[in-house]
Amino acid sequence: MKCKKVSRNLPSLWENSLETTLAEEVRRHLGQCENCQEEWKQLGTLMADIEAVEEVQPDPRLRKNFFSMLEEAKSGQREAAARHEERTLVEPVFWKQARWIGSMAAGLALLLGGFWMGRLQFFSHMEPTTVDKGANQELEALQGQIESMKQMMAVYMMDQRSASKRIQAVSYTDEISELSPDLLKALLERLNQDDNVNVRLASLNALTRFAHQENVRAVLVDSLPRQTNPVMQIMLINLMVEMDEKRARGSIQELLESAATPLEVKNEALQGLGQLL
Amino acid sequence: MLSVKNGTLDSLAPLFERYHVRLFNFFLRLTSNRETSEDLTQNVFQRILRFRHTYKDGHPFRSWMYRMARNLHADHYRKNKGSMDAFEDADYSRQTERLAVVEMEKLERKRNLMEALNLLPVEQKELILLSRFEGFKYEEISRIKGLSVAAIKVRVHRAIGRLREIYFETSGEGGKKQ
Repeated sequence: MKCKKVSRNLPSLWENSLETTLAEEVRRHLGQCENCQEEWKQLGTLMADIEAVEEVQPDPRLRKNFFSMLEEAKSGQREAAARHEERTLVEPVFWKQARWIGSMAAGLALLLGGFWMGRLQFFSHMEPTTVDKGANQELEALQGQIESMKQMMAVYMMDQRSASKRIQAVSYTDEISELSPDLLKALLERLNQDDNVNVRLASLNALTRFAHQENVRAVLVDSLPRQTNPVMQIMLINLMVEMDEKRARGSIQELLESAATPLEVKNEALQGLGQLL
Repeated sequence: MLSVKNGTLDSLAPLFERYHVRLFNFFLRLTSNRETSEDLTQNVFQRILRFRHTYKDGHPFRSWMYRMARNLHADHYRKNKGSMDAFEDADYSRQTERLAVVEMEKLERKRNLMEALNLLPVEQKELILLSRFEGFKYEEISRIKGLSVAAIKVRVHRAIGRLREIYFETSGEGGKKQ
């Protein structure tokens, strides 16, 4: 037997997992070959040294941090339970249902809602004849977009937890008609910095309602390069096209050129640039 | 773990007591940095809480936990590539002053072993940690890494061979093979 083959089989021999005849062959070779004998000894030393490594104790703050995290999670759980009870007692049936459809449904509803509101807002500034002509075509395109977005969102949201308080908070702005500077700032922070894409989407939809205001338009233009999530990127590109917002050309172009941009987003970016001439 | 999944979050505490030192050591050997390892250990338990719904009944908890641990380390590694933490040996040198010669030798060997481990590619290092330090069976590692048992065995053995070479600095003497 060649040294190379012996060498390859030494770990198995050490683990006693070599079949008998092969093990015997390896042992016989070890008796004759000094180099392999040396390697076998080294292996033994290495294994023994690994065995001898003692555990290092972590700093006590690790335990402390763990238990404060656990407490936090538990109080979150209690709050959720309390909220559930409160709603069951007080709220009218349709609201109760509306709020318990889960993150996916809520996200989709908000997405669709925002889209339609954005459309309505947009059409209201147009001549009626233009609407008639373009509406059918755009409606089809829009339905297609929503359909593909639904799929993307479904995939994307699969591992998200249920609708959070933040989404609820954002969705409350549906009922207001004027955007105060503070509220704008809060929504913007959600839009650009929230860890959760549902929350970012909800914020985008909320802001879209006010996209006729110049200050809102400006922050939406500004938001596109900050978004890393493909759903958000597509939503914003579409919105920019809808608003005919030429200032966004630069960041759409960048998305198109970046190697990190997913294919779906690049497609949207390409189409968007074509329409934003 | 099943009771954590079902909402009894307190049941996570005994699991923490049982595994956090091992996990901390696992990360410590991977990153050579105490603080990072504490953070990563904490993150594992945070993830366990957050993703408790995805735990499958009957699935070995330890493998499930180490799979998260691996993913967290992989994320950390990707983010810090190029600026990997220097080997933290302040602890060793402080201790050595107080120790007798025999103890020093022991520590020296331990340090050499850790340095040899650090010279391995991260995948091989991880395999050695899982199989030799954490005592996982090949079947368990294959579940954690999503590879066949045979493939894992071959890779672990290759990693052991490489580690032995580095540890004894024999890699330059390849000519001895027939």
